[in-house]
Amino acid sequence: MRIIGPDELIFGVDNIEACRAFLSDYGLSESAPDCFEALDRTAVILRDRNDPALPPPLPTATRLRETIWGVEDQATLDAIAAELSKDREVTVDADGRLHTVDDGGFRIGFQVTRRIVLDLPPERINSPGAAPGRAPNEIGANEDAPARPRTLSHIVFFVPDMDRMANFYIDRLGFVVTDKFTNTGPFLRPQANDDHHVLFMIQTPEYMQGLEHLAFHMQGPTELMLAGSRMVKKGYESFWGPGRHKFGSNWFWYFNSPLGTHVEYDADMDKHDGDWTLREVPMSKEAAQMFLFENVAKWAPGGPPPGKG
Amino acid sequence: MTLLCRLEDIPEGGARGVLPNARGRDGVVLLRRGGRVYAYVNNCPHYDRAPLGWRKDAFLNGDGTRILCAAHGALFRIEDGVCEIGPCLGQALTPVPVRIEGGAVWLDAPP
Ligand code: FES
Repeated sequence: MRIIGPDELIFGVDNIEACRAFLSDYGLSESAPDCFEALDRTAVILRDRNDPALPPPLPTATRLRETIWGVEDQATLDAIAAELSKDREVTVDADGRLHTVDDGGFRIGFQVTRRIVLDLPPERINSPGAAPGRAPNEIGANEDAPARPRTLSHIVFFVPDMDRMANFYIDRLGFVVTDKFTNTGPFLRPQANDDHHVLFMIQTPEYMQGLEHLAFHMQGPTELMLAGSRMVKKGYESFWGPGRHKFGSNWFWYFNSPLGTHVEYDADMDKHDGDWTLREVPMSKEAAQMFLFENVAKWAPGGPPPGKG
Repeated sequence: MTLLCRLEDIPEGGARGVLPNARGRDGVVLLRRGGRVYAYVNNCPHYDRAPLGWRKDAFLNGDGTRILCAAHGALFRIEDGVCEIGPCLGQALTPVPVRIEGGAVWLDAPP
């Protein structure tokens, strides 16, 4: 199954203005009303939670209503429809998108991907012993550089039954397990994407079911630091990071958001192919991060601390 | 007693973060409703060291009737801090003893 990755995440929120402000400040651009896109057109879509066009909400706190997966072509879409129609209802909307529900109870959709192929420079660094990444007189630390999410990287779910959920994506949609946290969940990548993971899950009680976080890839570590620092300066709440994960190797920086989920910047994730052998370790803070920093302000974003004004 | 803020610095029906630590994080959330101020430690019971809001002083859901944890969406009652929906269902925010005196909000004892 030539699935590429998450194309669109559709939310039903109760404070659309705050969500708009957040997603713009995060670096996505509003390409259509309440459709916030990365550079490759992958997107977060905001709707009022009472919008009747939305799929029904989960009975939990999560505001995510549907995950739309992008696939390579119509043939893949047809194959998915044939496979999933065997044991569940699959509907096709006017735009040719499929809609159904996965074995974890999450609403999912499939479409021929909206992604455009990017042709952008990577982060360039100078490293002794290697050819210079930057030309003479080209500056690395540019505070005014743009920092725009390039593509929707991955999503992480809280799921009540991780085996059931994971097996659906593995057995029915051809996802591959790259690594695994024992008793927590596997890191999964689909067949048409060599990123370490586009999907991860964390086993939880039923009342927690929902989206733990979503992440977009940035150009590299420097752009991630630049984007995250800008968020902190604007008063946004950093939750975890900046740091670097072990599994996947991706740099990370997570923020709280009015969408009721963490929104992460990531950069420089590992790539894998069929020669990779999966690793498995118990989940722990040590297993999750190779290192972690904290952005420390000299004073609060809202003003200096008492006595320092 | 420690001065937290002037009463007028919290909008009626709104929220405000006070008591920034050395890292610039607000330690306490204040909520003003009618003549009362409710105060809670700015930490979600779902996780250790999980601040609640998404932006300086942004702690409420859309219609201002609940405190929102902007990490995973938990909603807490303003009056008693009990989580009504979300990953910390049945748990509650830790209240902070405050007192209103002379038009200001004071911390009765360190949280
Ligand atoms: S940290 Fe508050 S809901 Fe998870």
